[in-house]
Amino acid sequence: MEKTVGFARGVAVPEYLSFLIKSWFFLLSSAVILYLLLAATYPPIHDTVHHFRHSLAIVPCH
Amino acid sequence: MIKAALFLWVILSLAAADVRAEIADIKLKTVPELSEARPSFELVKIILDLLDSGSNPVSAGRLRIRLSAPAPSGLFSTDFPRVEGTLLLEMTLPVLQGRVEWDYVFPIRGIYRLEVESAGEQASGVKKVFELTVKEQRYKFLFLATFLAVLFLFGFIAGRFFTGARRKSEDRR
Repeated sequence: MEKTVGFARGVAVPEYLSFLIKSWFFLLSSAVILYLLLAATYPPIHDTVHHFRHSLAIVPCH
Repeated sequence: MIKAALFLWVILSLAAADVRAEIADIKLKTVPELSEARPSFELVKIILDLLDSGSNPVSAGRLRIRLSAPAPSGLFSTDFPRVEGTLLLEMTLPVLQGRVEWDYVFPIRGIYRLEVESAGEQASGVKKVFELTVKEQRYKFLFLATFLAVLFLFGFIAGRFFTGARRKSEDRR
C-alpha cells in the first residue's frame, strides 16, 4: 500500500505526490522571485533592485 | 642670381612648411591607462597626438571622430545592453598644439572602436582605427559569484529539506 503523508489540514496524499507538489511549488516560487529580482520591468520593482542588477555584471538592466 | 636663389629657397621653405602641417600619424593615449579604467565609474581623458611626417606636433587642423560601443556578445549581456553596438560619438574637434583631447565615461565593458580621420582644409586623408578595451569592475564579478553561490546553497538546502522525510522513512525500513 502506498504510504500517505499529511499534506494539508485534513488532507492526506501519497508521499510521492506530496514531494512533487512541494518541489514544484518551490521551483515556481523561486522562478517568480528570480524574475522579479533580475528581469521585471515594472517601474517600482525595477527602481528598487536597479543597483542590485547593475552589480551583477551580466544582468541586463536597460 | 642671388635674388632668384633666395626666391626659390623661400618658395621651397613654404612648401616644406605646408608638408609639415599635414597629419602623418595619430597616437592615442588615455589618462588613466585603459587597463585601469572601469565602465560607468571613471572619467577617462582620451588624448590624440597628431604628428607630421617629421614626428613633430601638427600645429592646426581638425579631426573627425567616431566612437562605437562594443558589439553584443552572444552569451552574456552587459548591464546596459541598449548601448551595445551603437554609435556613441560623432564629432569634429579642432587640433590645439598638436593634440585633440576630451573626457569620456565609457558606459560598458568591452572593445570600443575609435575611428579618427583628419578633416578640414589641411586634411591629408589620414585615417586610423583604434580598439579600446575597457574591463569590467572587479567587484561586479565578485558579487555575481556570491549571488550564484547563495543560489546554489539555497537550492542544496531546499533539496535536503524536501528529501529529508523520504530519507528518514527509508532508513526506518
